[in-house]
Amino acid sequence: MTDYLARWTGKRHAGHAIGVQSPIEIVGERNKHLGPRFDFARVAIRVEPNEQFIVVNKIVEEIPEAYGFPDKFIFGVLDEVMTGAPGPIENIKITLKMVEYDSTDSSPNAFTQAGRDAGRKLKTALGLSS
Amino acid sequence: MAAIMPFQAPLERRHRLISTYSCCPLSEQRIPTPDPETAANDAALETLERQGIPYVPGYESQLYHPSVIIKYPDHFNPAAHP
Repeated sequence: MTDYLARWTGKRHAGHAIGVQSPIEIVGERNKHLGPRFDFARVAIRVEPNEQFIVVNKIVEEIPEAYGFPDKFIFGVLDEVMTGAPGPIENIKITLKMVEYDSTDSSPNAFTQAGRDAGRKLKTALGLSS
Repeated sequence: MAAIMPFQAPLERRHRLISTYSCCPLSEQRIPTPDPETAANDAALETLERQGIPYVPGYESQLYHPSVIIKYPDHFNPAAHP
């Protein structure tokens, strides 16, 4: 199993870790028009309480490696949940349930941004500032 | 004193850019839709069509210089990579 926390290069918030009390369903999305081009990715996840940060990939669809999925998405989630006040949300299990991408409009960055969107939505669901 | 002649290539590039983007607002006016985001998407697609750029995986390679795509590969569809 990939240790995403060890590979994530951001700086975690110094506060003590925050967990979730019950499972939360979230859809992280990037659907943006950027000048003359587009950026699209959508990933549905389930976040549950856990003793440590783990990711379970239940997606059976083959996503070309060049899109960087699921790593880019998970690092996007970590960018949000590990850096906000009052502390990192790290005692969770993330289950990847569904992914949508477009062979013309998706990019690795679209998955990163979708991950950040999911992280912001998780913080909002927990009543934390996003 | 001799007149200083501007480099022609940058000027031509700038004129091409201006003509590319200035047609977007015109296109938006022509497309009847209440959603600004959809209007912008439709305008971008119509602009591509007018430029003769097919909207297929990797089309960004015809909009951006290869050096830009090489420098920021994560921001582009894999099919656009040189």
